[in-house]
Amino acid sequence: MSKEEANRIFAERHKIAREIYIPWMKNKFKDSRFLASTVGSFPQPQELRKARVALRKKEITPAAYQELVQKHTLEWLKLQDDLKIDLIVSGEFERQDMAVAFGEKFTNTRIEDFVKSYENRRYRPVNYLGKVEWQEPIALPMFQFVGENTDRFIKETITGPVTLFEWGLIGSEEYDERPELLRADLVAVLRKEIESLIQGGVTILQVDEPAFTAKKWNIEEDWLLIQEAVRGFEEQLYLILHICYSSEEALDRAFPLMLQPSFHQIHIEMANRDYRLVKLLEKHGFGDKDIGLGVIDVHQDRIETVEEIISGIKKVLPIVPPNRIWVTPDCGLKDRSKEVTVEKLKVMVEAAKRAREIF
Amino acid sequence: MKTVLHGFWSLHSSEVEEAKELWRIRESYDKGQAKIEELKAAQDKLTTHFLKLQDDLGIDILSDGGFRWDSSLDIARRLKGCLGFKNLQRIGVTNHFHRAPIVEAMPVWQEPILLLDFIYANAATLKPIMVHLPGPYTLARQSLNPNEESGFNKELVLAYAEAINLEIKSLLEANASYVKVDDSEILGYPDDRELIKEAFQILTAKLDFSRIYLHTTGFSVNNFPNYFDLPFGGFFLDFASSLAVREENLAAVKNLPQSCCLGVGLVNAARSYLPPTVKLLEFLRALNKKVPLEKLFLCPNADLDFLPWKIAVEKVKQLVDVARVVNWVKEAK
Repeated sequence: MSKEEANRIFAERHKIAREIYIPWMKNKFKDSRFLASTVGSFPQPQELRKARVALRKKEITPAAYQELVQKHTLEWLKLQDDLKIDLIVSGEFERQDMAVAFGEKFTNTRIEDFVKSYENRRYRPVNYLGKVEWQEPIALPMFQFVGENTDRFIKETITGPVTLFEWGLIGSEEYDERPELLRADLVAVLRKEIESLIQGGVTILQVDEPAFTAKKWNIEEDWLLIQEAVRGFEEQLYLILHICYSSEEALDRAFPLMLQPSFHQIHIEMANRDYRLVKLLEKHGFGDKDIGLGVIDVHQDRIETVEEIISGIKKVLPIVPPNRIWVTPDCGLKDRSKEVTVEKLKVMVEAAKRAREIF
Repeated sequence: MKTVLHGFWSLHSSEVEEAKELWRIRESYDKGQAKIEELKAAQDKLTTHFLKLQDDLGIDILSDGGFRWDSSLDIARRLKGCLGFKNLQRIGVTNHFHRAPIVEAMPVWQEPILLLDFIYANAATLKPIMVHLPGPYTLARQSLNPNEESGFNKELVLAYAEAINLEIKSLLEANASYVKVDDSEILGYPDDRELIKEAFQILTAKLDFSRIYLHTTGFSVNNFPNYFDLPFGGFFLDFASSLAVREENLAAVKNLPQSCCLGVGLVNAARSYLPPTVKLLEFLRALNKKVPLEKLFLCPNADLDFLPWKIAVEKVKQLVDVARVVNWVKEAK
């Protein structure tokens, strides 16, 4: 199939999704302007981090660990309810790292010793040692647990193929000689994972791709990979692409691509850079996409004010109308304390409410 | 032929006591619960451990591991005109971040930055140390102005070049044998090559540039016409990140001046896979047809800090094995 032909089919499917699926979803809300949501993760308590180490050392049972994960998930389901967040997430308490959580469940992978993330932060990369295949649903069990405990709309998140590839290690001769095989295999396993999520009832899916816009080269190639991972699912899912902390140059290059099908929403961090990235929206427009607008800086404890969030939203309004703006943090809130996170989210929800009154 | 480790090494390990201790103390220090002296002592211990490890493994020219710095760009912190760092930005390929330097005015060198690190490492081993610095073009590309917009412009590149020139001068005066400048960004912007040439003239002005080496990785130097005319005593090239880069750089080295050394980035610092040693030897045989062995420095194609400690050690062992075999064959002849 030619690129033009593929794009034509993408565009057709996208149109169906826009005309049927999204209005259906948005009709579920009294007011679909400035929906408040979060990106995925919530603060990982020390208790859980310690339990994860204990589990690795086989000092506690998987059941005991699972119980702890569920306890924190339930606590945050209630908190999200109390905070009146429109679309809720599980909080990703079962995931120690967004790439590892998926990579470790594929075949022929191994989790390696720590490497640096930044400053004193570290994580354990996934080593792809042989043919990578999907074995069983990864995110679904937690989605189902959340579903059993809430009647709200749930946003599910998975890590995209580019990020899984870039943040992992190539440990096999075949993948070393032909890295494109690993990229293709990661797309294949993610498609199976997405199919399992659809069968399990997921309707809103966010694909996390922070690595996509971190580098300036291979952007077109990477975009095709991301598109391929979600191709055909746009009729069954409301698809969100989350990127963050990009190189601005890379983001500029990626923008026209991201405005193509198949994602319905692009989520971008704005608060961390004082809404400087609005200039890219002004330059490229935002097509018919919804925007996940990052209004909370997840890398600092300072609590934003309602006024500064409103001011940020105002900057985007000439480009994206109110019913296509979701109000969210910049990224996951894993690294902030519970107290700071709750305060930040309170302000965010209040700002979304105020925005509905003003705009 | 010599073996070289350059740049940063993994800061973390769940098995190396010195690394574990530094991580613990840094956690405490960041929370205000440990003193700077404790942090420095832990950095010293890990540096010493790492120098000994390299020596034991058989590396000829050592790195201090960069354990005292969060990123190579952090040296900008010590230049006048740099306000500090704010935004976290991801570094391509790895899951690392760096903080972009915020430059209020043209950066000016005030005092030696890496000198004490060099003196410490140099005193801790009998082997020579290779000091590594970020290049002016990469620094300028990564810098932001106080409005947090890209601070990149010609003046900034040249100001960084002047600052790094003075920094290198202080290192050479302290008898540093090898100084390596990492400036991979130059290969991504071929249209700026006249500016880059001017910057490197400033960077090496009035210095013995036979001891200064330029390192690029991730790209072929074919992106930069007349690359080997740049004023350096040696060039560290990438022969591992992909087949295309390896082949293009192999073809390019026919233009390497006879007076220059070649850093051969033979092992891939971003992958855990160890290719068969025989394949690396075959490649070196092809390379040796163009560059004599005594001009070659075998090394990884980039810093090894993205690889877990144990895997990085395996990579280094392979590098040393390859060098030993080649040197044996040479002696036998």
